[in-house]
Amino acid sequence: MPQEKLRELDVRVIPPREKHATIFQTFHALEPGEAFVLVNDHDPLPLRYQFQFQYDGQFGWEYLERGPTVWRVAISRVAG
Amino acid sequence: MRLALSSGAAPDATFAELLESAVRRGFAALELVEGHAHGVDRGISTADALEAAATAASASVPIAAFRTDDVAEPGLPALAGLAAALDAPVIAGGLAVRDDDWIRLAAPHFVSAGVDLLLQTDGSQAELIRARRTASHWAGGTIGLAWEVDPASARLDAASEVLATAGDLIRQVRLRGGGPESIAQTGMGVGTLMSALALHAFDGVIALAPSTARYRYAWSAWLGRRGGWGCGSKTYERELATLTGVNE
Repeated sequence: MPQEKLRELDVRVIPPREKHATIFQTFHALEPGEAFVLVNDHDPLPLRYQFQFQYDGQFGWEYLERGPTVWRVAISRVAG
Repeated sequence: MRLALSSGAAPDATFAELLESAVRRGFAALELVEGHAHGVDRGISTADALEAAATAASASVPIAAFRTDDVAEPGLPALAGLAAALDAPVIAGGLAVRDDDWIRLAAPHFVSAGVDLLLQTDGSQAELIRARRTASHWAGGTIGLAWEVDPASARLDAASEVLATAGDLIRQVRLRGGGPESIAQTGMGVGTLMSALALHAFDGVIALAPSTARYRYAWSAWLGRRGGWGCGSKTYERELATLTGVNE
């Protein structure tokens, strides 16, 4: 079975003022059930709180790597 | 998607310093530009090239590309041989994508060495269409594209269009002005580009390089090489840029 290509959004290269807007723009473009991997240089905990506030019950959040240099989080759009 | 550090960020750094800096900043690969102080060039032996590749790989920052602007015909066999030893594609700088005669001359060297040749493009539709036609003549995925992006001048809102036209050919995106410069950018669309790459499931390399030589000091400090600049460098710790080398 062909594997789906990984969608990665590396926000380390994005200017700070654009970061969260870019992440939400990418999230909005997902179909239900789809996901992308966020790559960052610190634990994006404030972002998680923002997701919980704005999209409670509509997103998935799974740490794939927790530092010390790189953090990777799979963010999904919950189906149905 | 792998984030690579270009030696353009620290042209005076040795190979070991580049590796150390890349690891420190969490990069996953290196782009080596010919002529920089890392010393990997067409003058080294195959054994030394193999050792450089192995050293980089063991540090978890493998060499993702070897970039050169010197694409004159006599040097192409050595260039292809070096790239084969490094197990990295060659990025031909300049306007090679528009030069059909050069491509006809150069491509066989890379095909026989089993090396991918990436032609530099500005992402314009004319270049992408031309590149697609060129790639179709060289089956087996030998010809690809390295998309040179300068956020200050590129139309990054057209990134989805670029990827729709030639996303399968683009193996590297060279982003000028990330790293320490990103904090000074005021919304020039890098986010839009990165989002488009993510949604397109781009699995190539994003190489970071300074936008101009003016920012080399800032990059050196950001990479943790500040100590190498000698006495008094800390005086300028808070400066983002220096005027030294503006015209380099």
